[in-house]
Amino acid sequence: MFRLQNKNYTSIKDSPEVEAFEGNELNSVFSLPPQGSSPEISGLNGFEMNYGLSRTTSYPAAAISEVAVTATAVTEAKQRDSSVLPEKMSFKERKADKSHNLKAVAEEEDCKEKRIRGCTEQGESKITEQNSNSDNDSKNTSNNNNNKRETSADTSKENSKVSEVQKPDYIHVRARRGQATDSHSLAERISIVVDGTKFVQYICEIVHVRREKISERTKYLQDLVPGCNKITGKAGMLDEIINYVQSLQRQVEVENIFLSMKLAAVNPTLDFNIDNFVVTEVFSACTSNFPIEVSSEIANPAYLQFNPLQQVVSCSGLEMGINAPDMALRRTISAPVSSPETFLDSSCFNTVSIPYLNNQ
Amino acid sequence: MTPQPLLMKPNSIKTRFAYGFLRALNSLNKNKPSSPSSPKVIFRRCRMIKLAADASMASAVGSRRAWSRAVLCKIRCQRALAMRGRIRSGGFRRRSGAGKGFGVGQTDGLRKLVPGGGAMDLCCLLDETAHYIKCLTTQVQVMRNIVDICST
Repeated sequence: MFRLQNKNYTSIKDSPEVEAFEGNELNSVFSLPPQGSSPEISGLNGFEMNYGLSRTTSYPAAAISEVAVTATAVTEAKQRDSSVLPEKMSFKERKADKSHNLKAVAEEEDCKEKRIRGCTEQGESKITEQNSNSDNDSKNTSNNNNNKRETSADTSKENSKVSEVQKPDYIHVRARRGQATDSHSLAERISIVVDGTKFVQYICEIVHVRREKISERTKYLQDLVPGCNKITGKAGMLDEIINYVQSLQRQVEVENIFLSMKLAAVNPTLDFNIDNFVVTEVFSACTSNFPIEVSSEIANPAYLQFNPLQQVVSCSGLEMGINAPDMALRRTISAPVSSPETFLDSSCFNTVSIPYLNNQ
Repeated sequence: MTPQPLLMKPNSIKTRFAYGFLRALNSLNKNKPSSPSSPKVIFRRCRMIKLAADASMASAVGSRRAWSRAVLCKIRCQRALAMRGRIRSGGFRRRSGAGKGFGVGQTDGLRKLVPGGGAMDLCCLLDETAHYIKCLTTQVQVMRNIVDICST
């Protein structure tokens, strides 16, 4: 529908009724809701509005040049290219303005209306930028769609032809721009708001998601590091985390030294037994606090592994020696104190104790 | 009659680390059956054990974590350099921007501690730090148990 209107317009464009038709078209476009039921319709709608606006405000040739400059700036902002432009300073200023707006909106999402008012107040200064943005949008969409490419080509032709016809001077730029804003002020402001809100919402979402992630992980780390819950400041918390990691690494070093000394003392023939033995023991012995005997250390993890619900009961049972077969096994195992036999017996004990525990 | 695999979760990081670490210790002990306990030998053995612990921890975690990838890559580089006869520990770190509210110096400190942390952003760095802390705790537990068992 809009494309048809555009083509009509391109056919009519030499007639003197250009301005009136344009106004009609803008009004018709504006009468539609800015966010349609389907995203395509809304996109088309926004595109058409931008299209009309780019036509209206890019009449002056100086404005066209400025539009080109700002269009490159906005393409840089959008695509984040690293190409250096000579007008980087103005781009930076605009970016700073935008980021300032973004921060304000990120902190309060409810102040959209306020920002909209701010946009409408700054509308006159930002018109060229937004129009260039819309131009950029039209170009981007033209890459995707042939029809849209046609229309953008039409707009460029129209721009050139209209500029040829009118040939404005640099002096009249202000006045003409002011005229344009006066005649289509509402539509322009709406287009700025629509584009701006989309852009701002997008950026806000990114910033918000990142902050959420960081705070979530910070909480997780706080739970993980002991004694970190009481610290409120992020700097102190980070210090605490760093200290904890350093202490853990130091503990690993200490265990390395112990282990190297122990392994230097232990016969190499023992290692297969260790391999069978330790793997079963290592995991659960860390929860058990019974370094009294090897056998108690052995029996306890078996309980812990098989009966996690009866963990406390089994621990107390081991301590007091209630279970008769278990006591017998313990007596048999705890008799030899030398390490290889205990290692061998430990595996035997595990094999024996499994059916017993399963029957239980 | 192998009771061991029944007793624990076979795919947990702890299990895999313990298996890998014990295997590495075994091979270490086999390679040097005669062990005179001079401090130089002990120091070298300590270094080897640390390497083995790091490698087995990182390989137990797998390559889905950035810090384990960094550790594995570092060990591989060290081994390749040691094969050639020169060991040079060169750390190439690049720093990305620090986050809001976090001091730059502290973030840098954390980056230096967590392996491979030089090339992460803050979000990823915190995530990796949490996992690294967990794995270090596991490592310390397992190694302490091994030491206890050897000493008894």
